[in-house]
Amino acid sequence: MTKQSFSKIITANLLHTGDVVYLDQESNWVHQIEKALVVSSEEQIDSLVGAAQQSEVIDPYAIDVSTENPEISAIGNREKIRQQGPSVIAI
Amino acid sequence: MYQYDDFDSAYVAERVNTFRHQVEKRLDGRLTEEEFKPLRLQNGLYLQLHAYMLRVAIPYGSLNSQQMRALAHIAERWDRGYGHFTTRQNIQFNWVKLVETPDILKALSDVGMHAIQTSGNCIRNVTADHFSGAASDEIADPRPVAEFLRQWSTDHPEFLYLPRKFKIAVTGSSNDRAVTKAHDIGLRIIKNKSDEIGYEVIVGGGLGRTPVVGTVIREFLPQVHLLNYMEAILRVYNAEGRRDNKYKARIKILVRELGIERFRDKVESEFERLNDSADKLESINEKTERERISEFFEPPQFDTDTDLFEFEAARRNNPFFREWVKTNVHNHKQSEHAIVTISLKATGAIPGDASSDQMRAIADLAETYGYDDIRVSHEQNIILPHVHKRNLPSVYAELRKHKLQTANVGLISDIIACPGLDYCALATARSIPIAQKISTHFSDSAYAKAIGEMKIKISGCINSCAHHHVAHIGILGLEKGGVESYQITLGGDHRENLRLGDRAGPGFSADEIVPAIERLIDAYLGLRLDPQETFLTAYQRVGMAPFKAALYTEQGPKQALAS
Ligand code: SF4
Repeated sequence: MTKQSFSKIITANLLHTGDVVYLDQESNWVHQIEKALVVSSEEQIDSLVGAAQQSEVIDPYAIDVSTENPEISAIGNREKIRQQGPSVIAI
Repeated sequence: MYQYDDFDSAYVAERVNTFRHQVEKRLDGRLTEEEFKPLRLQNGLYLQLHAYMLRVAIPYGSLNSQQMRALAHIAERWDRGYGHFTTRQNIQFNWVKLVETPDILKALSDVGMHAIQTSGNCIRNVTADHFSGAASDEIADPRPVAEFLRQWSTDHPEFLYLPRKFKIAVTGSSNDRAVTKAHDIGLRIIKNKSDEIGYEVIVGGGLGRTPVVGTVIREFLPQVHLLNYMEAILRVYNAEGRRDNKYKARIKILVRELGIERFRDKVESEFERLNDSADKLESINEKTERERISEFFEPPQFDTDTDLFEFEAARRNNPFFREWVKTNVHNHKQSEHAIVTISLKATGAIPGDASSDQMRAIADLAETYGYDDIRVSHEQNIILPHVHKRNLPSVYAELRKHKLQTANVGLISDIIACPGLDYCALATARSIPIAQKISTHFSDSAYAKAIGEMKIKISGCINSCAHHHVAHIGILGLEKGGVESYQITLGGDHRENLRLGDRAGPGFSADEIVPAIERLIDAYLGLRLDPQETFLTAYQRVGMAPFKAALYTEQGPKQALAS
């Protein structure tokens, strides 16, 4: 998969709670990565991230994802941990 | 301990109200995130990977039972039932909600606590020796100085927008337990030839991306000049520290670029100017203020009963208690008392984490047996600084009920680990699972004792919050090609003769790190002169070569030594 293939989605944290969320097809912020909208171009990313700045989330950004699963899943340690929660069990 | 006066209480209450309004404005859209972020950071509220994190200041790691219970309540009511004690002697709550943060800050202010200046480019929580006021090797209690500096630095209008964050540590003992040489300013309380108390002032230390051992800028500073001298250092830094590059903005870089002589000249001339000027700080009657603060730190009325029968009997009859006393109990300046370190490093546990129940148990113990005094150590343990030895068996029995009895202080499983990639937005690798694996692997207490004194410190990125540079075995988590990679440093020492560890070589994967540590330990056990020679002393004697050989070639230590 090359960088230009645009398997990307938009993620952010909810303003009220800090929860990790993803932008879905209907412009809602949802907790399930599987429901995320896969974006198709840099322009779309710019416009969605720009619009998200005004909404109920903070720090929106695009991340690479794998769509081979066939469900969408995060790539890289950081985003996997954001998606799944800490890899350790607290007290 | 210090009690807020009306001014302190009103100030903190006002800050809570202000923040409540700011949160309301953010939630209804009157403030953008860009406008709001600096405001929340000024109140210790970060955004981490999964949630907001609130960092609460515990001034010089000192708190009472009421405050500990308030932390337990916050963890239970607004978080997930636990908190994380940090190497800055603070506590972090990992799962707070923005909407609830004003209520948390209110709960803190009700017990004389806050989260102010736990973030941002300002003077952060002043840290101090966790054995303050109790240590048998103490020249003077550093807490009054730390409190004096806390009051001076809180909301100091000139120093709220420094080039970068600024950390101060104070020790009152010749055995430095406060890592003063790794701070922007380190103060060591000393006596001069005339037996007067003053400070050795160390400047420009720090860990992080560019680790630097602090340099002595003033060998003896009389007490009366403390604030003026601190002002002088901060003014030079504020004016000349770099603001163009955040990686070069700490005072250590300025001191290095100017050289200590030039930096000292600038500080001394500013100091002279301050001393001569009409608005000199003594005009606020510094001496009286220092004395007022000192009164809060008068030692408690120690129970002087010398009957230690129960303690001695328990030590004779209970081998577990005996082992715990050996590792977790230290000498107190009053011979019939002891300093108790409560390990937050049970086998496989997350270093520094404590549940609400555990916090309450610690609060109860402090109230019943510990003159209501609790400390947080930079090594992520909790200290009861004053416990009569007669009460040690009862304290131990209570700790057992709450899984707080681990007898491993100073041993291989007493690991410092930062939150790393499990929580921290800046991390490049996880730290906690590595600490858990090592702690589990070396859980055999007889083996751990045979290894002896060992400091393992694990940071999840180059910011080095876990002080890995000054560990006997330091572990730095990085990311290489999308995979976590752990770099090992050896021979660091956090004490008075602070020494930075030497990098051993290429990193190890998460799965390789425990076997690598095992090889290092085998090498050490094979080459040490006798069981009294610690890992660090052995390293200082033989150097890197045999350890490197053990790490990378899997040669036995003896062959490696010979090669
Ligand atoms: S060392 Fe890095 S990963 Fe660890 S707490 Fe500090 S900033 Fe986060």
